[in-house]
Parts: sequence; structure tokens; C-alpha cells
Amino acid sequence: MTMGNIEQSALTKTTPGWVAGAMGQALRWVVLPAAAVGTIAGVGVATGGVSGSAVMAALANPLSVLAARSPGARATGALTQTKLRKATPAEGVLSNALTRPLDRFAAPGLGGTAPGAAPADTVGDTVTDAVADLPVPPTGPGSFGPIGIGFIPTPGGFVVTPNVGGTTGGGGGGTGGGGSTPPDTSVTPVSPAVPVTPVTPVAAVPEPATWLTLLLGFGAIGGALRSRRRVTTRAEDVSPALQG
Amino acid sequence: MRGVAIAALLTVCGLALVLGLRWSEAPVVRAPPPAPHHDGKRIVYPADRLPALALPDGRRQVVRSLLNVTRPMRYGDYVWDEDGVPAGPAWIRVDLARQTLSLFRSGHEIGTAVILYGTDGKPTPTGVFPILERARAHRSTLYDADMPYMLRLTGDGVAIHASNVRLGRATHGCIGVPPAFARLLFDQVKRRDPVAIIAA
Repeated sequence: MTMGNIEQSALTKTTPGWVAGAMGQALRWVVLPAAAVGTIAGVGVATGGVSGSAVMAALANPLSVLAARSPGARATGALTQTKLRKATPAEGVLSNALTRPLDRFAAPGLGGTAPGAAPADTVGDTVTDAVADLPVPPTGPGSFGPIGIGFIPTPGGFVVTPNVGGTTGGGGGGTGGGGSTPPDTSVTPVSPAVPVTPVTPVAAVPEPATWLTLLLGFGAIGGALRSRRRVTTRAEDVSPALQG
Repeated sequence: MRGVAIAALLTVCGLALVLGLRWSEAPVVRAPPPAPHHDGKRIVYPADRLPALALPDGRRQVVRSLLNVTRPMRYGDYVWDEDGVPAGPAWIRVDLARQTLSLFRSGHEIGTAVILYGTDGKPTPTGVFPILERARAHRSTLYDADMPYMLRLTGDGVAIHASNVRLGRATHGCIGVPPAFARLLFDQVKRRDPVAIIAA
């Protein structure tokens, strides 16, 4: 008997099982010792003969025998390219969400102020309530600014936040930053809960019905011109004596 | 008088003891239930009451004996025992839900192993497939990977072949078995032998 990775003793235990002779012969019933039987078909044998029938019933079903030796079904999420450190991968939720202080160098009227900090003195009375009521945006990786130019709805109204960085890609390069150290000249995000996407104008292509109407109209104009010329020619053929 | 009473009491007690023992003792001969016996290596089913395993296409294959594996197998494990098993038709049973493969010859199970099978995105098909082709050293043209001891099952690349069977791995539809087992399996089966793949 050849086995791979299985100890010899686990599979070749000689258990004094009971002998089934041919039909008609007296059958001997030998009690199965608990230690040697182990887990046959997944049914543990605590004592001898009493639970022997349960073991035999389990053995009678080949599917239960096949299931007993199986490592079980493949667990979801068990596939990985790297070596698993633990039996089951665990997810961790970030508990310390970093809050970035609001930009102090933003243009007046744009962005907000850090909680507790005094508004910029240069702004003075021009700071509207709408700006002062701006909520402190939760900042984290990837949420440091809107992309492009857009309208961000705020409780007080709409605030246009042009991307001073000049890049339209989010977190790509240049002054947009990679999310690690936002530049000082960037515009403070007002309400990053609603992502703003840039609107690019699309070339207007006429519908087929519009094309057809255009062609029919041109055709009508051309036909009208032709008929008017014909009428004009006919009027000229009349003798000048009758013309008024 | 007292002596007679004591003697009578003893007689009654003795009778009760004897009768009680007689009633409680087990019969000398009792017929064991018709069930399989195992000799340590195999679980052998009685010839007049052979169970059968159902295949996905409705066929049933009779099982004469199974390997007696006494503990759950792990990735990389396999068992092979063909001692005393007569030559005859062979068939393979792949159980994706139990991640095992069983090889039967003449109704006796002679080999079993833990397998790798297809990922959720590239699942292993289920059904009964005849072996189309056998190749001792095959290289996949689709994935440019070695597939030793390949037993081709479908035209689109599903096969049984040797693989590094360990936790956390899967294939793109093929069935992977340990290399030593793949070599033994390769020598036992031939073209057109059925391979039954039971669903996960």
C-alpha cells in the first residue's frame, strides 16, 4: 500500500474486525476495540459491540465513507497567490481616520476654515455665512480634492472650486499629488461626499430625420427657384405693348 | 423452624439468581447484520449487497470495496493500494465538493487523492467525460505551463494532470493531483475510460 504524506500507522491498523463468511456459515462477531477503530466513516466508536451496528450502517453508504476522508469543501476566499499566514484571512477596518486641517491659503470665499480657527482677517466682512457654515470634510486617502471644475452643492449654496493644480486626473501626478502630501495651493474640498466629474462638450451630430428634412428643404428651395425662373421667362415673352 | 425458613429463603434466592442470569445472558449465536467488513486497509462490501455510486449522466457504478482512510486527508495527501485487486475496467470519480478524486478498477477503489480544481471564474465542468488523450509530458499552449501525466477530458483544455496541490491554490479548470499519484493514475487508465466529475 502506497501512501503519500500519511503515516503508515494511520492506515494500516490491523483491527480485529468481524469475519463474514459465506452464506450459511456461522458468523463470528468480534467486538471492535475502540482504540484501533478510531474514526471509521466519521463515526467514533466509544465502546465495542453496542455501536458496532452504527459503524456498519455508516460504512454501508459509500458516500459517507468518501466524505469522512475529505478535507471538506473549498472555503470562499481561500485562494491566494501568496502564502497564507493564517487559516482564514481577516479584514481590518481603519479606526483612525485622519482629518486634514483645512487649507489656510485658499482664496477668500472658497473652502472653509479649520474648526476653531479664526477666519482670515483679509476676508473680513466678505466671508459669507454660507462659507462659514461649510462642514469640515472628512479627509483621507483619495479624498483630498475634487477633480476638474464643477459645482459642489453646499448647505449655503453653490461654491465653484476650480482646481488650482491644473490637472484633471485624480491623484495622478503633478500638483494633484498622490494623496500623501496635498500641496498648499490646492483648493479645499468642500463636500467630497458628492464626487464632481468634468463635463466635456460633445459635438452635435444631426439626427437622420434632421438630415432628411434639410435635404427636402433644399430641394424645395431649388424647385421654387426653378419654377420662378420659368415664370419670369414666360412673362418676358409677352409683347412689351401689353405691359404696363 | 428457623433453619427450614433460612433454607427456603436461600433456595428461593438461588432460584431467582439462576433464572435471572438465564434471562439476561446474551444468546450464544447471533447473526451480525449484513454489512461491510474492513480488514484495516479496505472496506469490503458483501457480494450480494453491493452499493452503487450515481454518475451525473444517470449511470450507476457498482462499488465492491473502498480504501479505508481513517482520517481526513490534507492537501498533498494520496492513498494507493491495488494489492489483490483484479484487472478490469477503470473509472475515475472526481468530487469537487469534497475536493477528492477516486480511481476504481473492477469496482474496487485503488487510489484516492486531494485535488485542486478550477476557480470560480474558470470553473471545472461537471459531467461524465471519456479520456480523450494521454500525454506523459504535456505543455499547455494556453498557459505555457507544464502538465505532466495529462489526461485530457474536454476539447477546450480541461484535463487531469500533476500539480502542486496545496492550500490556497486552484486551477483554471483542470484537475490537479499530486505528481506521484498522477504517475500511478496515468498508468492505470486508458483512452475512453469515463471520468465522472460531481459538482461542487
